[in-house]
Amino acid sequence: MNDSEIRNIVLNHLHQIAPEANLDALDETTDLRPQLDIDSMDFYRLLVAVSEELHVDIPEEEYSGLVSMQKLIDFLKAKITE
Amino acid sequence: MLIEKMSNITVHPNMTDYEKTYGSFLWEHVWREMDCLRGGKCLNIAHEAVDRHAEGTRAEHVAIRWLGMNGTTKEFTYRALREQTNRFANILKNLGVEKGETVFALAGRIPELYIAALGALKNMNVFCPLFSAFGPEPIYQRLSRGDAKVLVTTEKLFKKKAEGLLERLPELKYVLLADTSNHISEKVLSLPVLMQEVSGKYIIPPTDSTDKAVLHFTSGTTGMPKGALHVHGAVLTHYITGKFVLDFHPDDIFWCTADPGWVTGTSYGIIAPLTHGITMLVDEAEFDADRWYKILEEQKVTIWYTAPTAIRRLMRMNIKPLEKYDLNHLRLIHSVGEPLNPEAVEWGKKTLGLPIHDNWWQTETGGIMIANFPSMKIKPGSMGKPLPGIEAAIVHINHDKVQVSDLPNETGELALKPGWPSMFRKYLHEEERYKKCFKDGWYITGDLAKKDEDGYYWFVGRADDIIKTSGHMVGPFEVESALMEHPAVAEAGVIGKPDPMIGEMVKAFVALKTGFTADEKLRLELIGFARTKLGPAVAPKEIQFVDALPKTRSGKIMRRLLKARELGLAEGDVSTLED
Repeated sequence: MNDSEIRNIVLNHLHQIAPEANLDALDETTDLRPQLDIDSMDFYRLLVAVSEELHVDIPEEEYSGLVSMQKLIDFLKAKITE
Repeated sequence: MLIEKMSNITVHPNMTDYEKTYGSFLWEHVWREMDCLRGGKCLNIAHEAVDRHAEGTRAEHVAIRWLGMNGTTKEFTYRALREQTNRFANILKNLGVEKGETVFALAGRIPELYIAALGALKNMNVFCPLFSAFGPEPIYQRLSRGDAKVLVTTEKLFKKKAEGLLERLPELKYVLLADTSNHISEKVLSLPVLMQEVSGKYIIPPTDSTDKAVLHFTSGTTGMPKGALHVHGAVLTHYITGKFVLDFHPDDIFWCTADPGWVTGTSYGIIAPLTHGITMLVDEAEFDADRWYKILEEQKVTIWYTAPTAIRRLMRMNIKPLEKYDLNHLRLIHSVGEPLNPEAVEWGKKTLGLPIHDNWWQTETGGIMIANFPSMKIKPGSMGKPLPGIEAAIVHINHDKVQVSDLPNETGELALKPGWPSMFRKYLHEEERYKKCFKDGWYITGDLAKKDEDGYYWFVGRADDIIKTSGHMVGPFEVESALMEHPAVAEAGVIGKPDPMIGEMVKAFVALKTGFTADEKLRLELIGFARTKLGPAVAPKEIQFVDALPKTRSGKIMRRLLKARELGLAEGDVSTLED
């Protein structure tokens, strides 16, 4: 699975959680939470949903390192190819 | 089951014998532990929290250690905090903000928020904090109902959430921006510029213990949020709960993780620790498991007051915290917001080596009322026993007559005898709603609970439809009203759907007007619409379309029935349901 496929999956779940957000304008290198006005519960739901769809385990202790789109994609790609 | 405490405790609890203290306690005695303004009964929260220490031996002790999101740290000693809060009080005085007028804050956990809170109390203004994750509509409702005269906020939050409200808020005189270096207009001013211009000396005017001090909005079932007003005398409760429940000692480093937008973050995230002259931590960042453990370790936190939602997140981690982090300094953990499940209490004991002390109170009570005290055995899942000075009971209400239950483990309404110092004194502009809370000489809390044979209280549920999510209250009416503003929505019913992580999740049932199709596109549009208006802390996380909502014959939505259906439970008494 390549970056763009993973990105689409994450974007799809983000759209479910914050449908009003303009995801095209997302800065992928910085924390997505303040950009999209998503709280810690929303972020938790996002990671649980992505983890279920991709069948990868995302331990709670990794959450803080995954708050930007780029880092999240990198992490998921590494997990999938493991 | 009971959790015994370790016998090798190095710090002796302030209250060693609960029963004895409860029996002999008098609020008058707490007065003697206050400094008071120029003697007598002149009591001001900010004097007790800041100036008394700045004028004494604690002047150079760190009052607030602030941890910025990006790794910066700022410290305020009691002397520095006095100077900063004096400046803020002088700003308000110079702007002509009068005694009893309300100063609001809408900000993340930035130092200016704390300075504004204490400075406003010095100038005898009413301080009202707002949660920064609120959307424009909850912000408008609160500023308008709370008669806001001044709003302290940041440029970003102002532009995003408040600027568009100004026309509807003619009474709001000034907006002070914490992070701009120039005044924007006559009304929108730079706080840093103003802080430079004023003196760091300020004499607190004579303040009576019954003078208005802090305003907190809390959610109602039937109407918009209620503004629960507290007075300066509340500091007696803040102080004594800091002593008996949180067990503050002079060298403690205390961390209350709550945001001042909720009452815990003000009573215990600002006032109580400062009244004891100790060091309190403020972390600007949101919940982050690894960061939190690092803070506990690096800051050498001794007493930690947090919430069930955070504890449950920590429980999900696949690590052994004591192997990865040095938490040797930590000696007490407290929790509030919603009942802490017994597994979490035991997890604390097993994983952190410390049991977690749950306690109970609400916005209206202003401070902790029922607690698992450090010197007492913990019953996991129980909220503990009443604070000395607080008379609690399980009652049954029949035609406005209150009957106190004397049977152990019988569920009834949790009630308190009015008269404690931090009891709310009114719901702003809503006298009838206030009066309704008191029946037959009792304050009726709206919570259902039971008391066991040992005198421990156990939370059962809410007696009304108010939703408790992530430890804070959301009023279904406020959410329903916002949804109803969407052109497709005919009616909406909002409930708290039980959720293992956050207690309850806000869920809306929506019936559409004719001509609209209940599809995925519209469902997402409604979620987005509600988030834009209400913000992520209040907006529904789930929306489900229904053909019609169950209503009473008088047209009231039966949320109880919606909830029972959601849970697949028996529907109970439906005799008032319309055909």
